[in-house]
Amino acid sequence: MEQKQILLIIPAYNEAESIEKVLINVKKHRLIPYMDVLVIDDGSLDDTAQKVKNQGVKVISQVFNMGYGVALQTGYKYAVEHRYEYVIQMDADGQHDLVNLDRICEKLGCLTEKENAPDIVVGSRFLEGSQSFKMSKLKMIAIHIFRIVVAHTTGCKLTDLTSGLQGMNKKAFSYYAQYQNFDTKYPDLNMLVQMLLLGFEIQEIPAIMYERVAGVSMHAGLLKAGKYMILMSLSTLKVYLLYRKKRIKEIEKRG
Amino acid sequence: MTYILQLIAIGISVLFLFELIMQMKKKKISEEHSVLWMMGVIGILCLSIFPNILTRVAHFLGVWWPPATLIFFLLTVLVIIGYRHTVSITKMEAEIKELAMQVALLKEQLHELQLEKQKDRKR
Repeated sequence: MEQKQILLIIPAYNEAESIEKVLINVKKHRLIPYMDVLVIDDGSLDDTAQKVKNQGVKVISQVFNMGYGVALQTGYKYAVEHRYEYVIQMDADGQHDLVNLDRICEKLGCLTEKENAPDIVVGSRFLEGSQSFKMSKLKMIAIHIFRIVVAHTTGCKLTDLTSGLQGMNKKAFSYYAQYQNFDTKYPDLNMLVQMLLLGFEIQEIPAIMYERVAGVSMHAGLLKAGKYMILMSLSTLKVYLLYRKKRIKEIEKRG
Repeated sequence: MTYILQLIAIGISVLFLFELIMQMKKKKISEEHSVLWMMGVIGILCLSIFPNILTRVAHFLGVWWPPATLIFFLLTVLVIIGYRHTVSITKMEAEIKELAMQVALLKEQLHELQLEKQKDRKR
């Protein structure tokens, strides 16, 4: 069997209601001849893993629930071990349209050789040409703050910093796969800031997203959202303090 | 400080020190973690044997009620111990997660190898 180039990682936690539909659609996707699908079941309490197996898709079951970041990092480790060239990650709740996969693939230059391809491609809900549902005002404020933070720390203007839809090349996911190089709880803008400061190139594509049909969002509830904001600020501050010197050196090198 | 109180304090400190060493011997407390506790206990032992130290330190620091120095000393020790625990818990969390990830990946690899073996047998 020939080695496929792309690995599609779908982290899932208690998504039994939506995962089947997502997988059926994914299996019809035109990229399937070049792409393996891997679902990471993050210690779900329902029968998510069984439903994935019924669909004939590979699933790695986590020993116990450890969070979104751990699920993704397990996927990166798997991709390194099995020598994939590209990783695309997508949510299991069916919010992301599969057209996005084509766009990410094209931008990364997965199938067609491309010069100056970025290391990481993020599916943005706010770029022109994207399509998304309405978000609450509070969420929009948070997103604006995130944008300002990233622009100040890295000088990079990204629009969507909490997107679960990303694609990356080997260089990026090999780095993420190493011990403690990936945030295990909330890997969002903190990881993007880390990668930007380390000199990885990140670009965005317009993404098409739908409102979730079943299951519960990771950030439901005001208290949880507050906790998320505080943890995210600390985590971003941490990577900024850790890697800003590298950034300065790189800028000096370039002149 | 009365002699009885002094004796009780010395007794408790000695007993606790003994307990610490016994637990270390049984390998239930690592040397690294016991060091801080030991320093605290030895400090209290010194203070209970020579209570004058407390009055002098209090005088030196300008504390008008000497036992307050004792409370300050104890709090400092406890805060440092608590903080060290948080540091080691954080490290352990990261290690546990890494181990769990490796276990999940190894289970998957094992499963794949078993499938291959079954296929070979059928042939």
